Amino acid sequence: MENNSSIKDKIENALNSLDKLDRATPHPFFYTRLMARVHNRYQNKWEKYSAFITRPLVAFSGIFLIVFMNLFAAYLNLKTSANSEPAEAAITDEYTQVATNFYDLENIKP
Amino acid sequence: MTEWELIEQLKLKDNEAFKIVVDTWQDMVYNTVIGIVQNTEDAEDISQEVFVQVYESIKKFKGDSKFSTWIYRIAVSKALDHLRKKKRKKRFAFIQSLFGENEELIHDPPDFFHPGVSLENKENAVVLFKAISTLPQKQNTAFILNKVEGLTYQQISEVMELSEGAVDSLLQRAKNNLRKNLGNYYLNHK
Repeated sequence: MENNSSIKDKIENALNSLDKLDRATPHPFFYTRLMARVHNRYQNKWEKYSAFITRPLVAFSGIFLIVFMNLFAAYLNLKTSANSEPAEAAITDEYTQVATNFYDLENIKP
Repeated sequence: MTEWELIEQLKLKDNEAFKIVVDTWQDMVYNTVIGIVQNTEDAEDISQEVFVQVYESIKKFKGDSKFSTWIYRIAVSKALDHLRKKKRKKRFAFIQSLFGENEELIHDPPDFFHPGVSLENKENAVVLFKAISTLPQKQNTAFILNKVEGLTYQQISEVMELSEGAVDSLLQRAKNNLRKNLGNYYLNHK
């Protein structure tokens, strides 16, 4: 019985132990440390970005992508030029028939 | 400078305004965070993160609540995030130790001495903080805001975005759980 009441007292004492609590304060120069953190954070952003870009996997993937896009563009170009050959040829033929070139001028038959 | 002028200056990324904000609310933030995370180094770190977020997301502050309430919310959510991460790490370490990958033993957190507790209450406060750390997050937050920061039920309801009735019930449940936990503790540590 006595034991129970002593435990109850202890519980109440513990619960009341925060009643006259003072506010905890950070260490001095909190603002200075905070600003250093902010500066680091912005610097680190660029550092992280450049580190990411220069990672071999990223760099080689980038180069591969550029080469692939170039090859693909060249392939598309070849394909279109192959498709448009008859029309071009027709135009060339038409112009060749009409145009006079130096060869023709020099070889005028009497 | 009024609070609104200060906020407007902060939105323009004025360093002087930011310094005033930090000087005015640093104790409030630190005291709230230390109550929740119960570690001085972590509390300093998280308090800095709180102000970085205040600086970065001040444009999102529309003035629907008091500025201090908005800062309280950031502080509480950062502190709770920290606790969640810590719990996850602990669980992961436990699983690793089961598979024998991690030889480290999982220790109980060291006793926490709140710097604002008077000398005669120090021992009792250590036991109480241990019991507080076992409370569910909402009860923990409400209890800390009430007992450590001294906020009224209305202020707590604004910070936690709950009704005053809900805060009252949270605090009642927190006290009941604490009584139970403390009772078990004192029975085992006679």
